[in-house]
Amino acid sequence: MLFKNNKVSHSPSWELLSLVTHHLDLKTLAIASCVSKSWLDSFSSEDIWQPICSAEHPSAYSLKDIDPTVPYHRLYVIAYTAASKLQLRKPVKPHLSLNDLLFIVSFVPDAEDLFSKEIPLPECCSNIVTSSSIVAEIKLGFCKENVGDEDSKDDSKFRKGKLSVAIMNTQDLRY
Amino acid sequence: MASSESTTTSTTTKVLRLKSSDNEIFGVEEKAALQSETIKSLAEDGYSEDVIPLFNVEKKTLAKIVEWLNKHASGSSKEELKRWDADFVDVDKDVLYDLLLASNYLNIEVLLHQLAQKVADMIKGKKPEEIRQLFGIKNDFTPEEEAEIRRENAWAFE
Repeated sequence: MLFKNNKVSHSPSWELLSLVTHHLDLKTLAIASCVSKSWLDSFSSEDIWQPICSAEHPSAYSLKDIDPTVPYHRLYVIAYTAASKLQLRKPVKPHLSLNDLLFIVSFVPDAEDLFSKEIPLPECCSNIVTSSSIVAEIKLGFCKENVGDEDSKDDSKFRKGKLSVAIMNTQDLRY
Repeated sequence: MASSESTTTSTTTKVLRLKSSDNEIFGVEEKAALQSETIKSLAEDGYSEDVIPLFNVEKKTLAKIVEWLNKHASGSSKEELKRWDADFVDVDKDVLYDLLLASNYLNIEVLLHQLAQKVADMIKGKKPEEIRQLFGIKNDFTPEEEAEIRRENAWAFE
């Protein structure tokens, strides 16, 4: 008692660690699990991670039914890693969004071009084309139903023959 | 020190007598003592006229706890309490551990929260090696086990 060495401190008991658990964030719990075996038991226990897993990643939580041997803290990591990969991945820039396409169908026999629009300067495939000269076109080819009477202007019976959608570089080629 | 042998029974304000595991008796005003849910239920069970035995708390720890109970029943301003509490938890680790376990046993929620937060703050933001050094913990993983556990928790180190 008299010469008690104050520098030698007892390491915290599991009971003590369990009192601290709820004051630690998840990353600290994971890091503290790497300290020693007893800390691993304290901070990676099923009791701690089951509610965390169930609250934050219910989809991973349900994996427990498939393989009950996988501990909850690992299920959490699986879900966390998957989620952060999704967040890290930049959204794919649309090559041609449907919103860019306007379909106007007008039944004028001579009009073949239904749609023609120059697409704004692309950023995604700019290694191929540097200036915006890409045109999206939709063509509709008509055939007269009554083939034998081509000159008849009154013949308004057409049917759709061929629908073609094209995206092309107007600098290089013209169809 | 708040530790004092008290044999006085209630005069105007009721005093509860708390006995530590090493048989030291502390007189504490009821209002202060009842911040502990454990003391409260023991008092309700009829210990209030007698000495309340606290088998899990040594006198040096109970003295600190009584100090806290008295301060928090004294009607100090919030700012003053905050400063006082910061000083109160600024103690050696062994004292901190004893206080934490005692506040859990005595079920003093506010104090338990403060002490647990203090220990948590000591752990936060440190690498496992630093935590071992601070808390005097031996790394009992084999190199293989440690590599495995580090890989498993790699996400937290990013």
